[in-house]
Amino acid sequence: MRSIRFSLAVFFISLLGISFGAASVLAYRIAWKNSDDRRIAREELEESRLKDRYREETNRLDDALLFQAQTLARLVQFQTDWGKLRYLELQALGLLSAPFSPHGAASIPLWAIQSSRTFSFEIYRRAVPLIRFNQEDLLERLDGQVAEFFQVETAWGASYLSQSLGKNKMLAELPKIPTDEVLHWDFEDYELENGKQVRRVILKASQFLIGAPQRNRNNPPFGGAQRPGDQNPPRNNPRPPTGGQPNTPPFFRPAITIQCAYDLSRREAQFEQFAKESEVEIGNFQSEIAGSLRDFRNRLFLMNLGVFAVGVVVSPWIVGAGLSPLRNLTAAVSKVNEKDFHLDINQSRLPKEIQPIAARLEQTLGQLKKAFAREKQATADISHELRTPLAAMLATFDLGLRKNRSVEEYRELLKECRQSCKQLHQEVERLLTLARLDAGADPLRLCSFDLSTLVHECAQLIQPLADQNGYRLVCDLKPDVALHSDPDKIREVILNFLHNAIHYNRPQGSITLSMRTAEGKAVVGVSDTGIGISEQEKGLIFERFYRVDPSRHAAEGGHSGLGLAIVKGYAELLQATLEVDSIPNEGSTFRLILNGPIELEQQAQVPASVA
Amino acid sequence: MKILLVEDHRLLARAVKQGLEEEGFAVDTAANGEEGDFKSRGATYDVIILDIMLPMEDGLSLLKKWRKAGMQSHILLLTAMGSMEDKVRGLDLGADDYLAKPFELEELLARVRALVRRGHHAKDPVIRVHDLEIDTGAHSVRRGGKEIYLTPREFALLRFLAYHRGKVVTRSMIWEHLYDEHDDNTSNVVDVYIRYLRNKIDKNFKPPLILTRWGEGYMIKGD
Repeated sequence: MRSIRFSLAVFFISLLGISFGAASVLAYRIAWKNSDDRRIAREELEESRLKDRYREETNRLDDALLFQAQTLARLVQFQTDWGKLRYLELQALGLLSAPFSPHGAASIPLWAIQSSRTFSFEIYRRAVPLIRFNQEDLLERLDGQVAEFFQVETAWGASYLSQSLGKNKMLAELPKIPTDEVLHWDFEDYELENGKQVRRVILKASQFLIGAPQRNRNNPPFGGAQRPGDQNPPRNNPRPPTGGQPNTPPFFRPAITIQCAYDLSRREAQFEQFAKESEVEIGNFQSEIAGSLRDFRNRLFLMNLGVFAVGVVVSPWIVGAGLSPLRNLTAAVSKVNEKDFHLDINQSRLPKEIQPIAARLEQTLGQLKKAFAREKQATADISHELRTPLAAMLATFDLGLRKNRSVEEYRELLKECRQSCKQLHQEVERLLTLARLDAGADPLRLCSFDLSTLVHECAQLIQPLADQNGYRLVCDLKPDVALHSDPDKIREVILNFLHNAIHYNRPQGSITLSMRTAEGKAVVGVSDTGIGISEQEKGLIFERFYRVDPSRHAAEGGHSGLGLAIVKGYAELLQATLEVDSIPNEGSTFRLILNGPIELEQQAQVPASVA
Repeated sequence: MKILLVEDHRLLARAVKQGLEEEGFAVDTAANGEEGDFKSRGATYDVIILDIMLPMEDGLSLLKKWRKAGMQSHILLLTAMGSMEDKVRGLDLGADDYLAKPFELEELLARVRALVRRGHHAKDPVIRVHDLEIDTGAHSVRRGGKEIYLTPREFALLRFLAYHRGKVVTRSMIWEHLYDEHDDNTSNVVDVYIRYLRNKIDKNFKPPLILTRWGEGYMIKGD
């Protein structure tokens, strides 16, 4: 047996579960999306940070490289005997003075040859001592040693290659240094001949560049003041800090080119380290996010579980409270019994869903009450109708048997017994007829017949009784009306009308039996000049055991108040209509209106006239 | 002893009436409630036999009305509705007895006799006056041990006098209680019956029990 309370509770819990579940899923999705965004942002941030770190590392290495290059340049300068290099100036002087000195003109070509750079450099190369570094010494003297590869080249041809370079000389396309710049450097990635990837700086000190060391002491040409900017490699050196032309004419010095390089794999290793760190960072963040998401999910799950538990505990109460009107109704209904049909409930206080049920129930109970009352009344009536003649019979027998009586007395008593018995028989017959009608066990036996003849027969049948009571019977019958129906039941109805007309007539009254057709219907009417029926009684006369004037019952022997009930049952069976017109104390007219008569005028004319 | 029978079934009423009359009761009949009500006001009845299902006005409402009006007659309900509830309801409304149809006539008569006895506060069905014994149940009368045969009417007269023994009963009281509505004899018929009764009861016995109070009526000597 399904319980509404249980079903509703299940619905309620399901609804609660579904809505909370959906909300939770939604919330979780939003949280997930949010953390994914955060993860992506974090990854991007991490990436840019990694790039920054790369750049910083590169810059740091570049700075160190540059610094080392500058240091190296200084070392080269220290090692260079600048005095010898002054010959270069002298060369120019000799060339200029040649036209003015005796034989000077003859020496011009010589000077001119000497003035050509190649030639001069060759001289310088030989004149100026070669640059030599002790590898260990050099490495020792370089702060923050970064560079592994060193290469020094000078304008005068002296050069130095660190041992690490071996034969792999670094080639460089030297940019043209703007005249106003003292130093110029470039960073770039470079591939050695042996295929090694290196990062190098190419530092070039220009020919005119270096002022007298003694004069420029406060502003050393290779000093840290010229720190490179934050540009990414390859970088160009910034504007010289001197702010234009040196205020003293530069002391001539030939250009020196220094290249320092380190193995890129070293930086790559560092980068890899950074990348690893970054990955770890991202990994940490991801696991952190995953953890918080997991926490959130668990919390949602617990919350749902809690809501579900609360729902399970609370919903029967809530549903029970909601169902309380139904319970009230049930209680009220259970109080109803065959003695008390009152539905003990205040309908106006019921919810509107239940009100129609209660209203209908009340209505049905009302009908049931009436039916019960009718049933009870019918039982009482039947017992009365059957027991009274029985009691009369018994009493009469008892009376006869009390003592010896004369033959006449016995005859009288026997007659009375017979009368009671007959009455009892009629009563039983009527009750059986009604019972058959109720059970539907009295089917129509249809056949075609002449209604006019049937009504006429009824009149003939009732004539003696009318005469006996001194009533005038008037017949007004339309001839030759054929009908396909149940003649026995129609006869029964008409005879019943006629008996009633006799029963309730006033002395010297008249009875009119009429039959006519109208609008495709046959109407059989019986009018009397009797006591009539009041307006209220019209609805009641077809009820069982109802009698308009019951005082005449039994005295006349035979009218129990079932006749019209049988008539009503027959009329329903015949699908005919019953009509009653009456004026109290003047008379009544009962009509039976039958459907589907056929007038036989033409066909029936001949046999009728023959008959 | 006068009885009103309110019963709408003619044949039943007739049989019961005859039975009661043969018991020496004077019986008036009414065929419906209204008639019953009307007749009950016209005379004092010792017992009213009342059918419940009556035309015009049903027996129970009549019963209620009569009891409310203070009617003292004993009422026996006679009805086709014989269930326990119906009996209880009828008795609670003030009926003295209840009999369901169909019934044995003898039972009805016995119950009526019992009600009459009750009306005279007599428990013993045998009324004893001096050496006179009147058996109201067996309808036999003895005086000094000797059986005396009386007609129903003589018996009724003796019974009436015996129930009122020691008190004077007027002619009209006797008339009223011993003759029904259809008897149209003049009141000296009472004197005639008194004489018959004296002949049978007092003639051969001493002392005389039926006394005449001149100008008032008759009485049976009380003890």
